[in-house]
Amino acid sequence: MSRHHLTDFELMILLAILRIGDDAYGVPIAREIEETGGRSALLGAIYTALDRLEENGLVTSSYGDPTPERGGRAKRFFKVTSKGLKAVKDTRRAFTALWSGIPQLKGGPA
Amino acid sequence: MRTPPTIASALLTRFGQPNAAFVGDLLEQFQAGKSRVWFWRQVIETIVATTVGDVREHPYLASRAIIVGHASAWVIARYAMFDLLHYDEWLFSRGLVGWFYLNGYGFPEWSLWPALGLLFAVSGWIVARTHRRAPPGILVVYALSVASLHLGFGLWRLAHPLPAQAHLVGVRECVPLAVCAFLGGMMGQQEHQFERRV
Repeated sequence: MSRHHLTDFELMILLAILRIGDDAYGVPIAREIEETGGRSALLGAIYTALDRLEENGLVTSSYGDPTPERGGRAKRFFKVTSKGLKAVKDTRRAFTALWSGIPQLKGGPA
Repeated sequence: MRTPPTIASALLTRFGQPNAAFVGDLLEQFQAGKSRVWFWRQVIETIVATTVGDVREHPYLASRAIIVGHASAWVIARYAMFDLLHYDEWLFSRGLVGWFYLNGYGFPEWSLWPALGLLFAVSGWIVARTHRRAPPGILVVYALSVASLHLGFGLWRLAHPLPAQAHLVGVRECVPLAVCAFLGGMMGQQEHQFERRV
């Protein structure tokens, strides 16, 4: 079985898309990563990662209507596919397994 | 509605992410109150990332652009613009400026900058015209190579016993000449035919 190994940035993007739901396009994804993930992210880097995730079948995208404040450009909405969801779960399982049993990480704040 | 920085927008369209949705996201955030500095930072970092990606994907084209650019600059300097680049010698040999030299007045080195700027603008134009099917970031690579070459030359001159004023010539030249190469290339890129895989 081929398994896609997510980088931490890809994982954050997928989680941000899942948290946002139907309105997941570049701006809210960047905001979610910044506000909830506590990490500043360049839009260019987010799109590069999203293109890669789409190539690997972990997300799909569709275009909305163009708006004047966007200079007549349409929004590109992203959705996590079932393969993407599985990759997120696999990554969480791997992290949890690696996390457990480390004495230095016990008892501290999360 | 606020107007985003014109030059940054033009650079983004030509050298940055080709994705229209990405450009729309940038404009939306700018309209929502992000600063011009933020916009410029996004554009510059995007162009850098796109250029690095282009060079990784097309190393042969990037190398060829650098070789073509510097070779054409050398050929033009040697055969087409020799008199212009050595205009002080040309004038002196015709007895037109002898009085100035005899009385201690020479031409400052910066007086050559317009001719050098023209030379590298033409070389950038040639790079763009001979690489119309290459990614536009190739031009950024050539401009950076011009800057690196002159910076290296300037630092090399620093290590050699030349008159104090001449030491910084190569260092000072590196940025304006790279800009000239870049602008010349932009003029040659008007009919760009590269199709990026989106």
